[in-house]
Amino acid sequence: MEQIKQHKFLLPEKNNKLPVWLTQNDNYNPCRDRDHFIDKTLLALTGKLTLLKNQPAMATDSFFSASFKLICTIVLILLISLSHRLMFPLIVLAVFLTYLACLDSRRISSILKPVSAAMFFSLCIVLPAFISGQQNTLMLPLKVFLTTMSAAFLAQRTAFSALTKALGGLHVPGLFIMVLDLTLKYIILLGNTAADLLIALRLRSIGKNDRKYKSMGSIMGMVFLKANEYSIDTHNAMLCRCFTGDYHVSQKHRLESRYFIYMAIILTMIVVFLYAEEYL
Amino acid sequence: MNTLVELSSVSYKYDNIIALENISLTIKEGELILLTGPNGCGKSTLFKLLNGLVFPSSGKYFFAGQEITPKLLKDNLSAKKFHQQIGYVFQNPDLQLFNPTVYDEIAFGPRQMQFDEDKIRERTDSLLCFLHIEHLRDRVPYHLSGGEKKKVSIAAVLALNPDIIMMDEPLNGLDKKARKWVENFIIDFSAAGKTMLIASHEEEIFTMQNRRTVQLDENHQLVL
Amino acid sequence: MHIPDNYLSPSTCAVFAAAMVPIWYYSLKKIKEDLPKDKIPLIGVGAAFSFLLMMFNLPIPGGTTAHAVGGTLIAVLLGPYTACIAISVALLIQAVIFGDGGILAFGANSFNMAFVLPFTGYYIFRLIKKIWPSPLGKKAAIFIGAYAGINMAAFIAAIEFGLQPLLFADSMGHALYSPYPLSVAIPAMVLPHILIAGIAEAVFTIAIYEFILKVSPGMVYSDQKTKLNPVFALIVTLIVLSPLGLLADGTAWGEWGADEIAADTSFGTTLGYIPDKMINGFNYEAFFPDYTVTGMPDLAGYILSAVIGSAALIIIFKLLGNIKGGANKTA
Repeated sequence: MEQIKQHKFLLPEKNNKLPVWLTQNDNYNPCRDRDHFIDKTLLALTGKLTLLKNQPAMATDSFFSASFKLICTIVLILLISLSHRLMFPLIVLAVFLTYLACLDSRRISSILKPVSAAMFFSLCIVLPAFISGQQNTLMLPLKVFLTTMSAAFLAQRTAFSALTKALGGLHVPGLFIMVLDLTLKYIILLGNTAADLLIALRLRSIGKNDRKYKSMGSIMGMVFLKANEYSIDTHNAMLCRCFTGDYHVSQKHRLESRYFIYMAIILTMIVVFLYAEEYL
Repeated sequence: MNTLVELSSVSYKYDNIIALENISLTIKEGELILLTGPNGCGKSTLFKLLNGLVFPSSGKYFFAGQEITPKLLKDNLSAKKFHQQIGYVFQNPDLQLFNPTVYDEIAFGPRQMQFDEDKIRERTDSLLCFLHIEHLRDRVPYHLSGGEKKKVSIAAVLALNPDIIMMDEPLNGLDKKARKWVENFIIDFSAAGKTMLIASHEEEIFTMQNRRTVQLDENHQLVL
Repeated sequence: MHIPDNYLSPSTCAVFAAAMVPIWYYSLKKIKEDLPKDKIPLIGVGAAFSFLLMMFNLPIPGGTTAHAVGGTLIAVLLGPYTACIAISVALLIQAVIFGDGGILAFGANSFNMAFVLPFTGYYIFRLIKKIWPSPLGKKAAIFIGAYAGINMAAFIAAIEFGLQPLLFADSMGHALYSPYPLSVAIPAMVLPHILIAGIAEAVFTIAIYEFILKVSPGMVYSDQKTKLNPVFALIVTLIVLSPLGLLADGTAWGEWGADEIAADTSFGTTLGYIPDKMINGFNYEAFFPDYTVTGMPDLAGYILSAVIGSAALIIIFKLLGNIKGGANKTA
């Protein structure tokens, strides 16, 4: 009985009827519009979010510590960048391709796709210079290929949380590392919000949108408002848990025997570089 | 009655994780379907699939007699027509509302349909009146209460005049009064002959109404 | 505008990273003074927001899309110092996790997009708002600020590119990094930004700003504290220009390197570079120099090419298998 009463109260009889147009079919014929940009943004967003979400699943207890991998990658990129002759990049290429060939095909394509994109982009850039006679400019795409691949290897094999910890070991201020960790968390939270809003926009983009920038701006505006909510919530949560402004990154500093192996690997890289560049 | 939605042996996998397994489901015009099942059984994925946001790994999906494929939705016009026919009310209205005022929010669809300003106003105002939210007309959706946001998101979707309304967990996060309102809306709207698909983990809602229940189980399969 | 590695010389990257250190330090100091002590989450949130902004594709005439950067917007919303740190963090994550922008070039990218862009945009925004304090003036201020910010950043990036062939060349005068001089790099970088990307950025910025202003005006950074200080503006300009000065000084370094290389006879033929090959035009050996000429033992060269070749073949077959398998799965 009460149910019916409430029902009547909420949707009173006189207005209970549907608007007439809702009972009829619109026989709507859409017109063409260029809204590929929504899909493109959505694709970029979801691709990166998937990658980030899969991050924690990565093994963190490999023989090589995250800080070693980080330093090693930076040294390698530096050496590639410094090399003036073809030999060193070719050696690195041989090692990389051999390693790549050992991976399964899904991994290979997930690494090769962005890396080749970067290489082709740089190829397009140097092409005019190459045609006009600067023939050694083709070194640039090769080097870009190798450095982006080293970065991809690092990202594929190491969870970002392990990397931020590694930064702590390298005496980067704790505050900065905390910001990095928070940022990563927020990217996933806000990224999902942005993705859902974009889907909402896409599902309702059923015709011609004369205010494309307004729609995209509103979505990002909403994301900003959400971002503010999160920031206030996190701040309150931190206060509740007695956050004092210090952020300690737990680190164990022990000289282990594997560190000598790390050193040896980096030294080998440098020696090979010097040899290939004929400094030795 | 015409068949609106037809899924025949649809499975969906991502990263080798099964989200939907061998689903066959037919929705006819004018039906009210309640889709129940525990959390994580694939209800949201099924909604995504029905809205053309993901595509079956195997099996076929027909909407109004037409097979929905990535190729079909790549075509700008077919995609727009398809999206106009389905009204999808998100579980969280916060993620669905992105306009600066309630009026703009509801008028977003009609504006895209290239109606003239008078017709847009007529549609928007009649919806505001039908859902009893005239007083919210010039408010900012972001600052509304949960129940008011829900009403606005329903209005925004109805404005497209879709053939089927799909609501994902429409009662989640609402207080008693707002829950009652949404339940009554569904009952009334269905009684008016509109097709609806409602996902909810609560099986005991709308028992008074003659509705069909389908259940997804933990193995992502449909129990009829 | 994300510069990958190898386009800039490592020394250029080092100069810009060194230039960023005091900027980061000062920004963090200002944030601590400016914001309530423990508003650290705001930086994280700002960084995440900046990261997402850079993923937005905007429709531009001609049917393609342009990328947003959004530096001016973040500076106007959160203040320029928070923006500087937030954008730097976003750039770091992009470089390390996604390979967008180089790891060595992180300093240079931060300089362009986390320093030049937000500060230029923010101060122009403040200046115009002061001169023209009406709502329309505010709108114009944010539009012009965003437009000027991104164009300034593109201009600085172009200078970084354009200085490379001037400063770093091998004994033959061949560029080691980005091969284009200033006369090519500046128009190539700046024109598309002036004509298209800058306008898209400015319109997008205004759209977001207006939405937030309409919905939650209280959330926009109140700029009562930071005063428009001409001395500070001068310092900013000097900081912008000083790395350029350093680079100009580096000319000596570059030439010393070239001399040194030229003095070493074994380096004279390192690239297998023989002028008459160039006269003959396109020549395979010229751009993939024959390793036997470089003085490497034949055997090493053969082993190397065998390894590269067979590994490449395995990869191709695996990928082909994947495409076939993938097609079966989706069918």
